[in-house]
Amino acid sequence: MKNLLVLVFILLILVTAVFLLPEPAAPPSGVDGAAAMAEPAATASAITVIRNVRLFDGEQVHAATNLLLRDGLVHSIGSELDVPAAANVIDATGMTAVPGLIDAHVHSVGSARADALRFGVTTMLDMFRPPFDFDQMHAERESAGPTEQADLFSAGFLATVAGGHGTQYGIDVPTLAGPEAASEWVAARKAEGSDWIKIIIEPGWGKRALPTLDAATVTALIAAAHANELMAVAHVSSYDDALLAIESGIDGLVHLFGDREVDAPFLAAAQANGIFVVPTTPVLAAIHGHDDTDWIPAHPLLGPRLTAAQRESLARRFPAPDDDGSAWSNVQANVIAMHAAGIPILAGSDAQNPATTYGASLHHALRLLVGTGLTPLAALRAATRAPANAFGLQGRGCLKPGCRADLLLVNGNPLLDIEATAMIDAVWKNGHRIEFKLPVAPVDSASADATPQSSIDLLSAPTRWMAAADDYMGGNSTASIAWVDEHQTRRLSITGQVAPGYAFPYAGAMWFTNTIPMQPVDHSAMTQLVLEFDGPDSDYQVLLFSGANQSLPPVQVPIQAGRPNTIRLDSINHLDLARLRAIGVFASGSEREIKFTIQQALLESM
Amino acid sequence: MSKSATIEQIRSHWLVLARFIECQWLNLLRTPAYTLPTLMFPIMFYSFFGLLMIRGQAQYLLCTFATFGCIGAALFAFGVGIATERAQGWLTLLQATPAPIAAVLVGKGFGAALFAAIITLIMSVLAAVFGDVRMATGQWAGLLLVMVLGSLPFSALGIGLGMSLAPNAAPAVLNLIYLPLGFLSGLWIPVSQLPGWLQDVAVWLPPYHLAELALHVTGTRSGSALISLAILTGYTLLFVLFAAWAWRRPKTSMNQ
Amino acid sequence: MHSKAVATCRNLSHRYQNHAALDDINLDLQPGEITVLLGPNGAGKTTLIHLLLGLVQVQQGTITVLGQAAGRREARQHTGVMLQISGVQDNLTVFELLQLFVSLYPRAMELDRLLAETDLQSLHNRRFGQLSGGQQQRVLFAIALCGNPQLLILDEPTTGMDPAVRRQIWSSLEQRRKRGTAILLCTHDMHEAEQLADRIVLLNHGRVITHDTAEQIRRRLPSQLIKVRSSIQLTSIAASDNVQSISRTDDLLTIYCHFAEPVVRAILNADPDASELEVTGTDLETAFLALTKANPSTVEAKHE
Repeated sequence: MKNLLVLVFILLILVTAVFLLPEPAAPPSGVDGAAAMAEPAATASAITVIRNVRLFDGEQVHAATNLLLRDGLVHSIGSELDVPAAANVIDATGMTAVPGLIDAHVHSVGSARADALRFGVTTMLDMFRPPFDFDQMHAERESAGPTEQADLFSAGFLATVAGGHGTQYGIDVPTLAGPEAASEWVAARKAEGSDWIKIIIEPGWGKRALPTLDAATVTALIAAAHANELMAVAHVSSYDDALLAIESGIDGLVHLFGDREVDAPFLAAAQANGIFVVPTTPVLAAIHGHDDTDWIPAHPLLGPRLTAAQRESLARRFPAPDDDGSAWSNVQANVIAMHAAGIPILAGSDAQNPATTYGASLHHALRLLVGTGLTPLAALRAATRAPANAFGLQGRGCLKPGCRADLLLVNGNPLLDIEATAMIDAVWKNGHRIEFKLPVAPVDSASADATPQSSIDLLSAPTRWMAAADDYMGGNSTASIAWVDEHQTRRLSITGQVAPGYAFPYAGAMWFTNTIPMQPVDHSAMTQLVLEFDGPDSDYQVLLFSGANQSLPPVQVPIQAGRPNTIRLDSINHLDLARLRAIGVFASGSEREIKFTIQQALLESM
Repeated sequence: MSKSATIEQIRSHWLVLARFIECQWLNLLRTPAYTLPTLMFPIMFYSFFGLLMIRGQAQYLLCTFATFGCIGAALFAFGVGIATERAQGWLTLLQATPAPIAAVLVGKGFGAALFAAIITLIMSVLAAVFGDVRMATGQWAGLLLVMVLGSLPFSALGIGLGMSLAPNAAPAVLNLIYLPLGFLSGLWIPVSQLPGWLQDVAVWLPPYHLAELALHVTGTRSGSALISLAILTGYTLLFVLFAAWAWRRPKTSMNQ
Repeated sequence: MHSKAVATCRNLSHRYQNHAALDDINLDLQPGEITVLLGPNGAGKTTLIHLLLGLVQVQQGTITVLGQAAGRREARQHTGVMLQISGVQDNLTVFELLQLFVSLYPRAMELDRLLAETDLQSLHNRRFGQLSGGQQQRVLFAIALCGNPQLLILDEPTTGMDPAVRRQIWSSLEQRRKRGTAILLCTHDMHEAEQLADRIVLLNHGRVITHDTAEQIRRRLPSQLIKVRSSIQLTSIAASDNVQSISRTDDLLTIYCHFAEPVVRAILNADPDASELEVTGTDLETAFLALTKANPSTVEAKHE
């Protein structure tokens, strides 16, 4: 029996050891959402009662009432509530509870979902992202458990032609060649888990002409979407294209044009087709020269919730507009005209475009909507009930029994003054109060708070470079690097051999962001990577290593020899610039001797 | 049957089980020449491939190499162990006693499960310390549980093979099954890096699906694991039937 | 008599592929009796033991052990067995091994008494793999005894033991016999058989050649052996009832008979040149050899 006791003791040690294994250090954000799902649901089952609160339930306002949150849902509302002894009671005299806001136009990358939630945006409708993590996205938004991220719905890949708008981001978008491809294309999106179909009708802007989908293909796409029980929405930026979309049967427009004012025939067509419109006011205002976003970082409650990357994004600007200033006033007029015609208006930010960011920019959008002439009530509905109705989102955009306990508690009364939405006191997601902590700054990020560097010359620090090839992984490829200093320029020469032996043979060089290889550094201020190198024309790739841990696979971007390659970093999914670890430049593919020289390697913030 | 007699019977059943587990435990403890290599082999593999050579995939490869280690422990503990004990006559002697077959097998199965747990835990510690892997406690525990339970079907396969193979042939034949199965199931190199036709083969192999379960439970892979669970259950049934058949098969060649 | 038997075999036949291992065996193992199973290699002894233990399925005929079909759990709980095996768990100590087996039986012996009876006290902390062959045999014998069996089946129990230990095991078996245990002892050692047997079952080529008390068998067996060099016709002496068996190698005759004198006279009468005449008494072993050799089919060695 003594032996058995020793055995039991060892088993206990085993079990204890499991509990000592390290957990993620930072609160789960962005990429490690799965960990958040696995957190125990202890806090979710806790009951919260918000007393004496002014309540906007998505449709109308209730004067001082009580709100009981339980199991991630709104349990009951009323002046006489049975308050369980265990309930966490909050007195909200003078405050207003608003349903968790819905941003009806974003492009969610990196830490977008955690960023948005800090500002009370609990649901985001993404208008273009590769569908690689949709299973997880679906599972997470169905959960009523505690999370520190906003829920996401997405169009997935957008419908465009080869070379058209949407193909310029370095993401391999499946394009359409004609109406006959529509049915198969839509079916593929549905299979990937797209929540609706987004169609690009964009012949170009300024002096830049772009190929775009023709009317027949747009019609076929909309028909195919409807046949698959999916909605179809359109990216349009002109009156004519908007009308084309409406006549083709579109369900909604996810931008609003400013090239001219709407007229009676347009409104009639829009009413007849029952469309909705997402005037992405923050980005349209910025494009048309009304880019006043400085109030956001200066705001006493919004400012502290911004990450360095968010501040950076808000400070970015579009090129100076070339219109006469009428475009923005047209947009404003169109918003109010459509609203007056009963066409649902949905608030959207189009973050993370220049001058926008997740969460904060929706508060900006609400102000801009009110600026067009909408009442604060209409503006609030545009960020709650209207998108929930338009996109069929059950239990969102409302604060009624059975709705998700997603809400924003603000000081003051936003129904009188829309600026009160920014006076955030607290945010609940799935009944779980969100702590307003910013992501823990990664190692070596002290510089992030200093003046952001506008550009980093990767070649200036030779010690950060290492030769790298698949011989490291058991393959037969080899590489070596040498520095060439002449004419006061420094170049990195890479020689070696790509040889079969590993599944994907490669040879080249790696640049590490940190002095300790593979330790992350916050480079979220950087927007592009410029690489120029000489060498025979063949297969080359950039591998970008980033994210919460080293296990995450790198992002691969093909590059070409003999010309500058400009890689837009802010549009790459799964790239976590705030935790960039390394950049690799590799020759890959078929067996060959390699020799190439990197002449320029710059991380830039534009 | 009086009530106390029944209780006594149940007590003695548990005692028998405890004795077999104890014997297996002592056996493992006293044969470090077997125990240490069996434990260290997959851990060494993981250290070389998962931590040193293929950088940045520590969490993914933790799942696949833990699978590799646990399958090996189960196959060899049962396969070689039973083939040897059968030839020595130890198994014949036990069959002639009132020892419940279940207790004999549970004793061995305990050994395999303990190996699975130790291998997984040591790899987890290495992954955490050297591979920077961070997971929720529930995920670490989930990985351990998947590995311990996942060693069951392979234990059954081991019993079947152990009853069918000569003791001197068993290690060679088991390696011939174990190593290719590990490679083809993407336990050494991720399946996605195998040629296309090999990927098609992988999805039919049981270790692939055990690794999938591990990847799911650790959050390395998202989506539904039901298909993998179903296929693994199917294989478990198949291996149990094979083991039962091999166990009952009339032994045509007696010692004399 | 039959109702008292601990184990009975009736019309038991068994085949391996195309050759008969056992052919119509009828056998009773009585309480308080030691039955010695004798026979050359391949005679079917191991098959019979495996059938009694339920390790092999009965093909034809019936076996009952303690009122149960052979191999039933209730039967195994009261059966002790010592098989010829080459290894157990070598890393376990004698004490741990016996502790394991003791836990299996409902009427198990106390460990101390078991160690004392088999004289293993001084060895109880040694690992099985470190014991000598004879010591290992004693451990296996202890394993057979540990359940206080009503039926004890022993296959070559004293192989490799020194004479003192062998006597100790014999006395242990005799004590068990006194207490009413039915014992089946399979041996090659005729001395052991003579010492212990209440009954002897002589098995050859799958058949029972003789099944009787030791006394009866000894009486029926030839008691004298004649060896002589002579070229006489065998028929001239084989005709007699007195002669049990006769064989010739070149001109050397080997004759087993009850009474030597009339045979010797007959030989010398027929062949005065007969030389190297030698007459000896026989023991059980030589008698056994005579009986199995007399059966012409044993000339060819059997493989099972």
